[in-house]
Amino acid sequence: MSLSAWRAALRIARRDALRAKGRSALIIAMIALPVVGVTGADIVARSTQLSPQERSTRLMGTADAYVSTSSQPGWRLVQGTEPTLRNTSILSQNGPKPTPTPEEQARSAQPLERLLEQALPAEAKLLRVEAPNGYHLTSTTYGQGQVQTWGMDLTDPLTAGITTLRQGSRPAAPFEVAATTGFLADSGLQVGQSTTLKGTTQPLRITAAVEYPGELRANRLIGRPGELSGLLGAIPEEAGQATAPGARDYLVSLPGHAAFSWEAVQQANTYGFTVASRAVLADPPPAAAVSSSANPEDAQAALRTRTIAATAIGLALLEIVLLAGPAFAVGARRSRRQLGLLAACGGNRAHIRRVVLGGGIVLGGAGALAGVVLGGATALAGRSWLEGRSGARFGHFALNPADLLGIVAIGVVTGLLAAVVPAVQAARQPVVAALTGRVTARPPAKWLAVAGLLTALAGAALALSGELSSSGSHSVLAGSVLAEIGLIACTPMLISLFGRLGRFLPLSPRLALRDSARHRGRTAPAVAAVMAAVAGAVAVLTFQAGGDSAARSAYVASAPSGAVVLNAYPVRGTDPAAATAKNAAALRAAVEGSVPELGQRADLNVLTYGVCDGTPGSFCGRVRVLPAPGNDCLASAGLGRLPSATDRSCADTAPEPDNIRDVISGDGPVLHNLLGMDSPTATQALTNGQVVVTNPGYLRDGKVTLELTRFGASGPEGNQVSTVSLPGVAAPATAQAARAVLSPAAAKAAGLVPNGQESVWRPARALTSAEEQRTTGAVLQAGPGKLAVERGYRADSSDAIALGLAIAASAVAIAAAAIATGLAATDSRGDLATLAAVGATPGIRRRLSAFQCAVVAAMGATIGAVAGLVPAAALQRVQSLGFEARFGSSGSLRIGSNPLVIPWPELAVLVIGLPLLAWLLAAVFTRSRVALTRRTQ
Amino acid sequence: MTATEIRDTEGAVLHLRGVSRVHGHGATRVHALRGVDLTVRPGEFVAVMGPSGSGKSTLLTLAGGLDTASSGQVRVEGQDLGKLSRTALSAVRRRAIGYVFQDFNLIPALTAAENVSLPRELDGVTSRRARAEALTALAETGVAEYADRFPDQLSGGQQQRVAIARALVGERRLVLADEPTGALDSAAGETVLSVLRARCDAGAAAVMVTHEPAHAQWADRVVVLTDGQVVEERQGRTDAGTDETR
Repeated sequence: MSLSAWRAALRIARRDALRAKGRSALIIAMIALPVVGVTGADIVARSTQLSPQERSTRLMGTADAYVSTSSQPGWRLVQGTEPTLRNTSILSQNGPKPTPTPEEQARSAQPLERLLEQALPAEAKLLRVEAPNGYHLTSTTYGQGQVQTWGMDLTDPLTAGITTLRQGSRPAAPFEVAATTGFLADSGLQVGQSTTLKGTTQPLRITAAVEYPGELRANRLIGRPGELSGLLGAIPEEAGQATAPGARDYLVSLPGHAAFSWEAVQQANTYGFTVASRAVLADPPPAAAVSSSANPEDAQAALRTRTIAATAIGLALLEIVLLAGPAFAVGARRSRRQLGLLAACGGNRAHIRRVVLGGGIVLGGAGALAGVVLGGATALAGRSWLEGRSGARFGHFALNPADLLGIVAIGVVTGLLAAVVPAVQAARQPVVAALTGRVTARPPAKWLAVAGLLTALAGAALALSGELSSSGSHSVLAGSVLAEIGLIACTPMLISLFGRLGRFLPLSPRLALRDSARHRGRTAPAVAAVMAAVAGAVAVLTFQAGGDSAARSAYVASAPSGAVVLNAYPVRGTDPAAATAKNAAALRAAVEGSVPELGQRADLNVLTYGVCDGTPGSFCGRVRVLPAPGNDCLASAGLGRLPSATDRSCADTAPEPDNIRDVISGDGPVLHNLLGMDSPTATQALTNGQVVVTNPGYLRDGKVTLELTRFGASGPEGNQVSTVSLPGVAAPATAQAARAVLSPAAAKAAGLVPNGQESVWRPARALTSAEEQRTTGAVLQAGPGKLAVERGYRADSSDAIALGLAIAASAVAIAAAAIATGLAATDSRGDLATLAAVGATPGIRRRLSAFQCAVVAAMGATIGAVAGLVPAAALQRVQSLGFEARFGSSGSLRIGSNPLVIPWPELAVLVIGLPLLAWLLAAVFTRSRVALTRRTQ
Repeated sequence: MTATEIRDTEGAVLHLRGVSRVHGHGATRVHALRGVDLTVRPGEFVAVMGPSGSGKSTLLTLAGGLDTASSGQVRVEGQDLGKLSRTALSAVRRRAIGYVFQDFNLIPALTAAENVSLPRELDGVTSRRARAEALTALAETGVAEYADRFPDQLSGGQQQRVAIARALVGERRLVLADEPTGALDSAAGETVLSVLRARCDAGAAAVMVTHEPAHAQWADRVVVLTDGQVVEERQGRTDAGTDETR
């Protein structure tokens, strides 16, 4: 085709787009909206990817390296190029407890300064940084708040860039501090006011508001080195604050900003220091030279995220193509005579296709450009909001030309693809029929339906057989898209089948159904668009329902529903027991003072074997309840039954939540308050010194066996294991919050010692959110401890996501149904005039439109509900493969692999509610007046 | 084809021989045309008349290659349309045949000049040359001053004159007009017919479907169809009333 002909086609397309402004705006918006999202996401992703230089500045300011002392200075360690806890390991000769070499032992005996001298290049200048070790309480406008304390001289030029000064001036005088903006916002304090760390009396004057560019929400106070750590170190230990000094870190600058090489980093590693070096970050050594490899789990997680994201984006693009398709079909139908004229002037099929495709290029290009500009502008305007949401400042505002061009290209291709089917259909229509406006209904092509069915089956098979590999991630996407395309190809045949139901319906729905079935050319794309929207929603909802169901079944309540659980943390000091008891009493008083009518309190202790606190004669150990023989996981797996986290017989192999207690001591009320156990026999047994267990699997011949392990000093091989059998009873519990309960006396007799102190209340009514917040605040102020109100399993965000998806799917479906209905209304003017002529009431048009809209929505929703299960099942499989990769697929343990749960209520809403809504909207918004028919352009 | 017939059709722009068109099958079978013969030479203006359903429009669509004859032969500029592919038929419509319909003849998204140059541009002629040819054609039909107006800025008569210009742009010399004055008032209709007559006098050939006997008077020959058959063929162009409008 010549250039002139192309030019003529594009000219017609461009002018047509300008003439039909409403339709063009709709298509441009449809294409632009996702482009806005993708552009914004690209800019944010690129902007948050820091360059090595930006990463270095946030960590070490203008210094050349950031050195941290490990927990074992003097012992050799290995680190990654950017040291983190995960990629750093202290080398040892054997076992989990590293045994130093004599040389390392000799080194660790040296003072730190001496070690640093040997570890770092000569002439290195050091600036001490006191990193925090946990949180401390400090006074706020509202009472007490938690804060991390740092010691760093912010006036030193080396620290420039680690923080950004937002207000005031950097602390220069004694007991002046800088506070992060996050802390100031939470505490209600302002620059110029003072705060006092709990347990100290020295007021700290806040002279500056600063932010860490990478951690905007950080709650920190930054004082001059030595000041805050000095204050905290002087607190008597009974006060309960964590006072251990922070890790010893240093900013290192080399003369003339010489590079801190990888060799120098490894040298420092030999002496037990980790080093983040600016030069190494900018130019990392080859992977082979780094002994600490990247974490394979991260790669797996990234792959899963990519697969899910790629599937979602691919389906979204397909959705746009399907949604814009009917709009192009409307355009082609409206300009049928114009295209017929083009043919009469000598235009061949290719010319006509080009005019319709030209519309796709023009509108796709306009939509993509508008989307990219709008996306960029939105990202720019919302930059500070985005930074606040993500909790980190952008490194820089990154506009990547290649990315943006790619996004524009995707937009243009989307428009082009949407116009393909209408273009082919327009080019195929006979010229005389186009000129005279005669439309002939042809039966749907059988080969298309058969090919569609085969494609759908092949796609489903491909998606479901996807492996978790880089190619497998594509197979889920390709399979899902293929399955949907196959179903789209089947829609004309399915619509034709639906049409046969017409004979059982009254006039209006019968006419609507027959009309839709006869004009499959306009019905099929609209039905396909509804189908894709509903399929997408069903896919995500099903995927989410599976995850939700797994999380629900894995959830173990820490107490019966509504119970208030107070955990008083142990307090160290000269008399830890007394300090802990004092703290617990203060916390209980705080709780009972905040909420009246909490009911009877039950106090309990978590039991341990041995006290691991380093005092003379102490030892570290563990106690656990042994399942009776025949009650372990292997036995149940052998019966073909998969264990679950709540299956007590698998207690030893199933991963468990943190809040399950093993062996506890307490009185009768504990059984009621903590376990929801109301058996008088159990209460009597506890009083008699027997062990009460929640699962009969722990009971054998009326006895419960406890395994006591005394840890060896040199590793697991030195462990001393003994067992003790005690008389016991099993009783049903509503909350599996502990495995075994002993009376305090029985616990003592068995050689067990109380460790954590907890209190549980079961108020007659559940605490309100306000009461919970008030009580939590009171606990926070009273001392170290934690309050929890058991409210059962709560899905975090699923309701909001489900609602958002349902609304989005409904909007798309209604839009598609409305487009098809509008087209049907234009097409059926003649029919309506005939109906009016034979005496139909004016309302017939309204009813017909309403049913036409409902028919499209109903057909699309029904097919979509089925189609959505394919990607959901495939994604579920990818997730499960991820878990298998982590836990090993050899055994029968499949915990974490989510089941395929079909969300029936949501499906019902989509399949029944959506057509009803479409029916209602069309009935409300259709004019009932029948226009006189006239041949239109 | 006999020697006499070959002699008769030599130099003819349009020649139909024994052309029939049947629509539908079985009970819905309709004979739109039955063995029609028609020859149109350069400079000749032929009017086709007849009652509704007599096959007038079918004759025109077959002559223009928009539809295919069930039997018989349609030759345009010596080419047998029945033996051409769809693409070649399109090319014939671009290079040899021009259409004028009753109304909505022009593509609304294009200016008058662009509408006229469209067949040439589709044929691969450069835009500049196509525009020059279009302006010449528009000047010949007397609407050169409306070259850059869009169809909705033109009156019905002006639109039809633009359509005639498009039908004759470039090398084309066969105009097929289906009721070209049907949607016009009588004055505008007369103007359009005078333009058509003038183009034929300048060497083009025209076949016009009409049911207005007065309009048929502009033609050299009048062919009357009934039930798909030519039932009468007579001279048109009486002396009365036409000279002053020519």
